[in-house]
Amino acid sequence: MSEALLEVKQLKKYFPIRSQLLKREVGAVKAVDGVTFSLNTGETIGIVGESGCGKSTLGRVLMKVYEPTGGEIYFGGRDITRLRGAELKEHRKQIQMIFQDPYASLNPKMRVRDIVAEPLWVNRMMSKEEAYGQVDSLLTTVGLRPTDAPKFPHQFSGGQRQRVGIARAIAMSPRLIVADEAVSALDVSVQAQILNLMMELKAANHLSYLFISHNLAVVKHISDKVGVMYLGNMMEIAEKNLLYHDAKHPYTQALLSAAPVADRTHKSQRIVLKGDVPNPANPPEGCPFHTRCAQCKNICKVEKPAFVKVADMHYVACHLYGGEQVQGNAS
Amino acid sequence: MRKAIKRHMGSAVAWGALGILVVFAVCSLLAPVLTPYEANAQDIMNRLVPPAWCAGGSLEHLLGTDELGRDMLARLLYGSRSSILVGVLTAMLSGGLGVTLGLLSGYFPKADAVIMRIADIQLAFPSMLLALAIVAVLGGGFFKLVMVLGITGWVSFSRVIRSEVLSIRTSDYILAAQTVGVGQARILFRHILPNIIAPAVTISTFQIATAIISESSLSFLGLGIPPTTPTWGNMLHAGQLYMDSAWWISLFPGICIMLIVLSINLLGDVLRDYMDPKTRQN
Repeated sequence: MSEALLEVKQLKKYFPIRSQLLKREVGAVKAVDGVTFSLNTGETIGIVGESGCGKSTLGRVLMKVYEPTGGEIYFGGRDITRLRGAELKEHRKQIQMIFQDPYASLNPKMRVRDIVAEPLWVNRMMSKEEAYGQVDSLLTTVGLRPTDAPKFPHQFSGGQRQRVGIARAIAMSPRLIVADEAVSALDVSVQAQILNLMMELKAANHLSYLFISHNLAVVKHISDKVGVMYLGNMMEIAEKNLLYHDAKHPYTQALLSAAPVADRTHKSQRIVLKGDVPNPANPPEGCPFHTRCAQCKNICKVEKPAFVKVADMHYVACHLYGGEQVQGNAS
Repeated sequence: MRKAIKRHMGSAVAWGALGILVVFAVCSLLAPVLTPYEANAQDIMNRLVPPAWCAGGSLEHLLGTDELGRDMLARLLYGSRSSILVGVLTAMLSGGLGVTLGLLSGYFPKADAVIMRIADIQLAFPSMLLALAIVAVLGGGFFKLVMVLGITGWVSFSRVIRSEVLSIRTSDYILAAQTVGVGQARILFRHILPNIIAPAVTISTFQIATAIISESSLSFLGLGIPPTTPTWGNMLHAGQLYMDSAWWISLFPGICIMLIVLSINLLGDVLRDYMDPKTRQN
């Protein structure tokens, strides 16, 4: 097994809520509230959850777009939680991002060659001329033609634009790519093409992905392991097949039962959750899921469950399962 | 087909507007050749002569004369020099100032607090009073006037530019530029600036018109260009008193201002379309 590329321990990101008049802090939205996981080189972790569960915030905190409120992030063994300035800039070469909306993530006034070459020369990795020399091969790598280089983003389809975004992300040969809903805005047939491209790139460049999505099928296709988030908390992390066939957490079970399955013989026993996701500014005491959980016990209402190992490569935060407690090094 | 006509029409309009501007520019340069009269040559015997095609008009004064018997055509030709210059220079100055401050204020929240409060104060303060104060301290004259108009005009740029920047700043493509390591200066001037040129061009065209007209009020108060120099603004102003008897004194400079503003506006539209890659293609 390869070394851990990314280790996240008890990561928290709270967004302060300020009062209208005096701008005093009156509370906080707990977008990410103590998330722990790790990712090995060459691995893909899928992060799934409903809208507003904090999965995009998690991605952005890892990109250091947002400063984490608490917890630690280790990248390649190095603590990057508090990196700033030049060190941060240097570090960012190693983590890149693919965005959800290929229409919003490319500057409409820039030509494709400028978009793709920019990361290379602004970081002084090479001269401007050399950077532009790389454009053709980068475009070919992502399945575009060198003749596309002088075009503007609006001349491309959604899938092609996403390829441009991928070319920009891989230009600096990063080690980790955070893909935030990278295929959600695309047609299903194009989704498959982009996913295949991402998997080819991963194999060829020894990349790791943090793949954020609400689409369980897509995550299943691309990931090695999957984490399920709910209200800023990681509820369950497991190796892909374990999670999809032997989900432990009641929330994961409900999530999986709600996903459509293209198999007529499949008997669906849908678990319907009652109520809404609680407000992350005022999360429930104890287990964040207890307000909607069918198997809620008394302890769930008062004590937040610890992350426990239920099997090899399978961790869950639920009082239904006892087991070996994990102190911030789930893998 | 309709698109083809529209595009064709668009270029016809653009050429027309450009033509008008060229005619104005050439006329202002060749004023001494085009008219035998001095702009300030008074001829009290021939005061308030109507244009040539009206009853009582004469071919000697094609567009008539004003209340002091000065030839209207000569004054319009000479007046175009200062009017066009004031308009264009003012728009450039207030545009440069307003776009820069708007960019900073939209991008840096701390600068925003300061810049927008100054803008609020300036908006609440009567601009004429501000202009008077500045002129009182610095004195009058052509360039002082341009400066005053430029300084009073920046707010309309920076307000619009600021709100544009605020929305662009949070867009994914700016986030993408930040995460690949692009510096702040480059993000401001290479990523954001090209996206706000279109509104800036639109406001400039409007600003040119406002400056030509404001020049007249300031000059009227004796603070701008001295009355011995003809401008469209002061002609418009002088004609007010004779509106019912000698309409031509203010009508012709009014038409000139309208034509020049219209052509600048039309050209601005074309320029804006040209700068948008989406409409430039094909």
